[in-house]
Amino acid sequence: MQIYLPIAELSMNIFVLFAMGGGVGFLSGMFGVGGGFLMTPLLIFAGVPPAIAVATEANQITAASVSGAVAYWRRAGIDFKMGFVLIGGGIIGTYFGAMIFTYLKSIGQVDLMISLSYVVFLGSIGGLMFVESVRSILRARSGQVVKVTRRQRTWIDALPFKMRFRKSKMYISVIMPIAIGALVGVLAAIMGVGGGFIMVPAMIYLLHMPTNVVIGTSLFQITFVTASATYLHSINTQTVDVVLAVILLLAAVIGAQVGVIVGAKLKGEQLRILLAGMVLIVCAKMAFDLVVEPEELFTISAVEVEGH
Amino acid sequence: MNKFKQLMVLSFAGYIILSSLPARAETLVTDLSQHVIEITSQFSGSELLLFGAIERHATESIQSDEISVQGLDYDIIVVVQSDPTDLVIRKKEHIAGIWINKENQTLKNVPGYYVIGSTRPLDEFLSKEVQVEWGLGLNNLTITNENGDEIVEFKQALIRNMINKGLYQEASGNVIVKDEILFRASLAFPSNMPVGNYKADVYLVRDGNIIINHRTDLLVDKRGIERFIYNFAHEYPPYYGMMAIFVAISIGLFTGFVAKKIT
Repeated sequence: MQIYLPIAELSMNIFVLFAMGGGVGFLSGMFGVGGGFLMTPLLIFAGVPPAIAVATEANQITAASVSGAVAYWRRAGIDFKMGFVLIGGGIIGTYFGAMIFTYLKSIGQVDLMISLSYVVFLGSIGGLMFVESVRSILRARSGQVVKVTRRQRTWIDALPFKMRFRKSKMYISVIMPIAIGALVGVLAAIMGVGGGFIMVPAMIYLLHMPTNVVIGTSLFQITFVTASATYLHSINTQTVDVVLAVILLLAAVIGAQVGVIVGAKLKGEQLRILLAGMVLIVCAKMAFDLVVEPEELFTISAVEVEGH
Repeated sequence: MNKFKQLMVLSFAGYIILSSLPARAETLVTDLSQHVIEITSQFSGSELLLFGAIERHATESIQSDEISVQGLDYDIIVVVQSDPTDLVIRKKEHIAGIWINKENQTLKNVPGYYVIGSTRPLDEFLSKEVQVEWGLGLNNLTITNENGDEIVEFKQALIRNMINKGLYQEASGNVIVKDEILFRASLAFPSNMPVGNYKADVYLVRDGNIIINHRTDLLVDKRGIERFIYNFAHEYPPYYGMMAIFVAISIGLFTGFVAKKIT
């Protein structure tokens, strides 16, 4: 059965969309990741224009993260003060991200930027995850125990504008959280990802936040940042396809429930190495499409109307 | 094909009316099976029938058995196109190991949809000059950039791309003439067809000259929820953005609630 997507202006098989949404939902449930960084490339591979894939994914992630954020809120797993600082940075980030996106779309380079950002981010994150999980598997085999070191004072502690975060039991400069929030905001706007894969490690290793509030606070921030990206893309480029977002969302919810059950049966290292493998495959496909001479060198698009 | 039978009856009725008039020159009656194509949520392309009748010149003077002998006197060309628009075409170049959009041209007044069909290949009954004069056939379309220059490479690329998308079609033998009076052509519209006003032109050709042409209008429009969403997104972007966020948050909260109940 075909369904016509009103903003993408193309007709797609609804079962294919359900399979894609469900599949990515399954993986995100299994690995505990957002899935935006898999969904956006998959939509692009399926023929959705990259700009529409990115903006629509931002909209879908808003829905996916809000239910997670509420669940963590019930368990008191959100540092709201830190969350708002991160959102402040995030909104600045999405503003600039959407501006870059709109400009590049008008000169016909937005698809290239999306592909390049995916290759760079998926390549480095996937590579790091892969090396890290191989190492920990090797360590587990040789029976070594990782020594937990006390955190060192770094240049981050020397930054001005300090603020107290009671929930996280921290007294740190707001510059770093704002910068991290802004980076994630830019990524949300130009890549259609929640940015959890940057945010969570940054909160743990750069801000040294207690792990019990990291996931909840990151979901809380992602909800607002992707909402901001959705809004800005709607205003600037009219690329948010609500119909597509809702279909993917419903499928992803179901897939995620199954994924959680399967994920619970696998070991952490195995999961991470699987995820790293998936990320690297998507990255390789993106890179391949950039490097290999396309069959058709010419592309046609509508004239961008000034002032939109 | 009940619909088709109906159409044939209709066009035959048209022919009867026409042939009862004192005719001095050929007259052409054409119509479309639909004047509006509606794009709805299940839209996956459409098929349209263009049909009509030719009223022959000097009917009274020709005896009935001569009509069939004169058979191939007439040829018919059918052109359906959307109102012209401006399109940007970009060419990828190999830069630093990757393929990047480099040169681009804005092509002015290009149809977003152009389908031409005829009884026989155009070259068999119409001289090149006449084809160019009337802009018949994909290669005879006027496709120029802002400065009015025609760049062959970009023109060819546009036509090739549009053919691949099913938006440009060129065929012959697909206009079927019945009893030298009635004709019909089946037209295929892909799901990615642009919305807007279209025109369907029928040309009647005799002895290498276009003797009559007749135009019928066609409207392609989104309907129902599709139209509403598209117009909402383009006419009220801030409210659309808020709506998108609201829908996402509601569904997110609702599914979270349901998932919690189930597990």
